[in-house]
Amino acid sequence: MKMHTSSKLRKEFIKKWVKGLQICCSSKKNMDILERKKKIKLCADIALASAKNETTLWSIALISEAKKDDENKILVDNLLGPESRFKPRMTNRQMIACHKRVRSKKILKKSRHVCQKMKKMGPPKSNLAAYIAKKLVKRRTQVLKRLVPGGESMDKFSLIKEALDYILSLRIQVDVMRTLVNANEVLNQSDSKIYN
Amino acid sequence: MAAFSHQQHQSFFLDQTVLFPNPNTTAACFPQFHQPHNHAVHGYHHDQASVANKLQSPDSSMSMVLDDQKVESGNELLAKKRKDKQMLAHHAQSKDTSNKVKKQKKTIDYQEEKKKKNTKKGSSEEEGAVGYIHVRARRGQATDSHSLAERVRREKISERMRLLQAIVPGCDKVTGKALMLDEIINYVQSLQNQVEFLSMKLASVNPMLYDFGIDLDSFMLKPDENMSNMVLPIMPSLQQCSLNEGVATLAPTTTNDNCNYLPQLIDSSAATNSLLFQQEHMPNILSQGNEHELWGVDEQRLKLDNRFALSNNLTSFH
Repeated sequence: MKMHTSSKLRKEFIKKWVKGLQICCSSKKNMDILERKKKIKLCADIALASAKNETTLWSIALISEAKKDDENKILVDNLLGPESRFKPRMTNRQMIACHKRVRSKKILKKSRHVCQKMKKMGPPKSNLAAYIAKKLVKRRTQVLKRLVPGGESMDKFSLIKEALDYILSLRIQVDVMRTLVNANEVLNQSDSKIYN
Repeated sequence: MAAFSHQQHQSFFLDQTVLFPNPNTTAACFPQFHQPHNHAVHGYHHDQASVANKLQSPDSSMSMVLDDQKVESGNELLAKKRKDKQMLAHHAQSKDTSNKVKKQKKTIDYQEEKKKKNTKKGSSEEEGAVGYIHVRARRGQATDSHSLAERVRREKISERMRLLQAIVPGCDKVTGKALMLDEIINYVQSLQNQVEFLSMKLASVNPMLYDFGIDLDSFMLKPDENMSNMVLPIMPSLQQCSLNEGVATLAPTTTNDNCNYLPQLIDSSAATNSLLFQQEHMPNILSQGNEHELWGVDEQRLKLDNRFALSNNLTSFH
């Protein structure tokens, strides 16, 4: 069952990626390598996210991030089609609200921690192992939040769920790109053989 | 080292030690026991256990007290409960069982958790938490709503961690949240880096035409040579046949006109001409099973559609 959905996703991704690249090329020709790479990557990312069709948080976040940039906006809109014009805007607002909530929560937590630490001097010794473990986990979840797009406004579980989905989709993306590169290499080799 | 505070109730234990002197407890400890706030040795609960065994006395209240103390050795670690335990110790005599039982359970939970966390540091948080849940499930809690919610929360997280274990390679040997999160982070970072690298590579490969639109065009322009030279030796399968058909229909319309039109394109894109074409063959070359073949076939159809559209566009320019 997972294979089935992944192959479906793969096809969607390829379709959208090719489409996006065509749009890119038609809009502007003669870019240097870095620009090209950026465009390729951007198209790939957006294609991946839109292939998800708004089912996951990270895809929504990714698309809305891309939309913020003006020059990408046209591309994104064309790529996505008229389906999801309104949703990202709403989730953007929600995300801003989320960010604010998260920030205020963090401030509260920090102040609480500071107060608690000042009160408790002895007991942390006994809880030292647990305390250290918790700190490690916390630090790592922070890093993960930064990696997964839109991760900051997610709580612990949905973060893990999203990370899971994100990993699967990234895998597909890497797979497709890699086969393309390999195909290219094979072609180049065969080409050189033919011409020599 | 003897940082564990001891509670009032230890005075009861003291009485028993007088009757059955424990070889482990030193003379120095004895005067301590007389004080209301006692400090115990680290392995105190072990001593307790051994003494408790010896003191399987017929007196029911005594045995209850023993249990109480064994349990509450766990509470040595929690300074908060000091006063509670003192109260409890008083209650012990009055045989107020319900409260005691509840607090016993609580302390057992804490004790188990502390033990586990002391034994295995980093790897046990998840397991410790899981074990913790089991204990709680067996015995229930005084403050139910909070603990239930917490338990559910933890179970959810651990379940998702397990799912992630299945996905992230090399994660099944790792236990514990921190290490697993580490692996996950590394994996996500490596995947993202791969995407960057591959997109850079793709950008570098097509010097003039980086998008597939033009590739497809040029492919349409040069169907015969590429096909005959490169495709046939490489592609033995059905896909080739259907593709040949598709291209053959286009060939008469496009080859003659457009060969002259975009010679540059053809030359420079010779390397990437059949790029997408090759892409369809890749499933055969790599041969990774049904999924890829399916993908290949559908991809081919998709590319055909694109090509048809693009070739029409091209020809319309003339």
